[in-house]
Amino acid sequence: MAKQEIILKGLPASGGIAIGPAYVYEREEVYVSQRILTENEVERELHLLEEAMMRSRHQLEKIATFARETLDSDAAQIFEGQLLMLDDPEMRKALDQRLRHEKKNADFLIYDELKKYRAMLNESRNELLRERMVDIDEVGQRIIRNLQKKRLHSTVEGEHVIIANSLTPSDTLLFSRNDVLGFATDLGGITSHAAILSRSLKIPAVTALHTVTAMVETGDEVIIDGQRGLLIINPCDEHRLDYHRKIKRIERFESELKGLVDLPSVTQDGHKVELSANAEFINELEYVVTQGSKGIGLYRTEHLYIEKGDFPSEQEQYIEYSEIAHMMYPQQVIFRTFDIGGDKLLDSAVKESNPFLGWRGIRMMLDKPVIFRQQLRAMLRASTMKNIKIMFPMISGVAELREVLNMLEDVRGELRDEGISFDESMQIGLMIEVPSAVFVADELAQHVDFFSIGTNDLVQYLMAVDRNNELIADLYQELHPAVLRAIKITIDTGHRHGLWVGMCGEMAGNPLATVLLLGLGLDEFSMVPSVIPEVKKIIRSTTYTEAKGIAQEVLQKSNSLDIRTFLTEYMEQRYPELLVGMLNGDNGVVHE
Amino acid sequence: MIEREITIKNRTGLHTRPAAALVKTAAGFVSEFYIKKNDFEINGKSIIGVMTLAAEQGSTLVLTFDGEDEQEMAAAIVGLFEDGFGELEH
Repeated sequence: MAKQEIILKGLPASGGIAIGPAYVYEREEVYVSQRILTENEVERELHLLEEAMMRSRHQLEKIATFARETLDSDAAQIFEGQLLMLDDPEMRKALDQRLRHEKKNADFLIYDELKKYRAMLNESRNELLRERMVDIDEVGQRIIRNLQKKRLHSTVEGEHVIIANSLTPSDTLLFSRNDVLGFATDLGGITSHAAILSRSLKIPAVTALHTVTAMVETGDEVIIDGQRGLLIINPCDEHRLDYHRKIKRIERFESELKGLVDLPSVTQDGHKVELSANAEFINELEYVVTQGSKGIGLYRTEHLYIEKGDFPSEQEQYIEYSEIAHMMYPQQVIFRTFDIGGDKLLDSAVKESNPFLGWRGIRMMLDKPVIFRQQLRAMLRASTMKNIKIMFPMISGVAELREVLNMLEDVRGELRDEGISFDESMQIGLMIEVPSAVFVADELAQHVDFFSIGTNDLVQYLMAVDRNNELIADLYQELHPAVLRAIKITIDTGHRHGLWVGMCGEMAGNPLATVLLLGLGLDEFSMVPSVIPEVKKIIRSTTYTEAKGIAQEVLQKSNSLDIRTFLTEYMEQRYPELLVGMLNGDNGVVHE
Repeated sequence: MIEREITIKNRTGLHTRPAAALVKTAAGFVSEFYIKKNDFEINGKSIIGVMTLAAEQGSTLVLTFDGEDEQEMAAAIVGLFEDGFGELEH
């Protein structure tokens, strides 16, 4: 007789669906027993501890490197944190002192120290912190294993859904190198590090199933539904069929997306727009190209300052900018001049009570003409292949823009005098992110070649809301009618003056807003590279006429809830398979 | 010895990333650095210590710096807190 179907409901920690045999993973427990050392053994034990520490550091560094190469920086950060725990001076001091005074074996002392930390963290009401004990425990157990010269086996042959009581960050990462279909755990939440890693690795995961390890045996067939947070054990025929169909649909959609890479972003009635990527590091560019991006719509230069702790020289900048221009050629790269201040690294000499309304972006650069001119020179010098554009952040009015353009003209003259070549016809643009710029767009447009709407700041300034302030974060609404009207004014005004108008804020990569923005006449969408295929798919499946109709209808609505509901219903009807993808990216999960 | 009182601004408190930033910055100075919350005091160079502090947004902490580079260290560390560990906007 077939086994009874059981459906368990947990937390949807990482999207995706998989069907396959279960593998119940029990981490080999570490066992320690207390021993009293003789005087002679103490020095040797200290030496063994040092060796085990070194081996642990070496292993963790290898994992951290693998993580840095394969995951996003948030996920890779987890292992950096574990390296810091390993080298924690207080833990080390306690171990050394206790070893000398109590003369007990090192593995027992580590175990005992871990118990202390666990007791302290368990007192915390903060669940996130309690979850972090998993990380500390793992580091401690790693040292113990190395002391006992034992190895951990986080490998499994063949495709399986891993069932475990809990998973550590390293378990998750190491399993991902095998053919793992999914993770289902008794414990853990949505913000646990294993969950964050699963999302980054795009492996379905369901956590907080409480009793899953007791209910599944290795070899049982299971369905893991990371969308809805379900684990179905020994599924009935109907459910199995149902989920096989779902998987087929997702696969078809994903391969369709892959096939889109080389196709233009053009609507069915022939309206073409540009899809480009936001980037800030050279090593991102390869990925950008594989996602089918047409160039870089926003290249942030602040990291040069942040990494150096000071402004980079003209030559350092020139080298970086020309390398990027070469790598992307013949595609275009839009460099944004330094946007420092606000949240982005405050000059420690200056304390402002309200940095977001303070000395940032172009305001700071105009006060630092030497540095600003160096950056402009470096960008101009890197433009000889004619695939560079420059844009300025935080412009609030015409006087400011004139000052910037005068300086640019001056620098150009300087280069001509020095006989240095550059692209004389280089396009210059500005970011529309300060609300005042929207209302003087007519005047601004007379001086530049393009606008790029920075929605993150525009929304925050228009709505007067700091979205990191929990009390009011719900007022941060990209789809607020005021925001949409500001976007419309900007696009219409730009077009009236013959400019092209792009967008480089998060909204440009929000699939919910794609048809709307298309209909408003946006010419260029610049976004995180990973969403480019989805946005392209939407654009290629609609017509400009349909999009204009949607935009028209949305502009009639008076509040963002109505707009969101309208767009969600439209998208669900028009692109039912797309919502799967959207849920993956935007499921309201708090990213640490 | 320098003593400073600060309030945690960033939304997620001293979770993994800010704690790591804090400890890494502190490691660059030779002075001793302690963090006190209510009556609980920990070594600011210990990431496990910083985590067990369980300091959340709005918590008030007393920071003490003691040693030859205490001035510079205080400026750097207080700067991190005031900057919300670069998390005031993302």
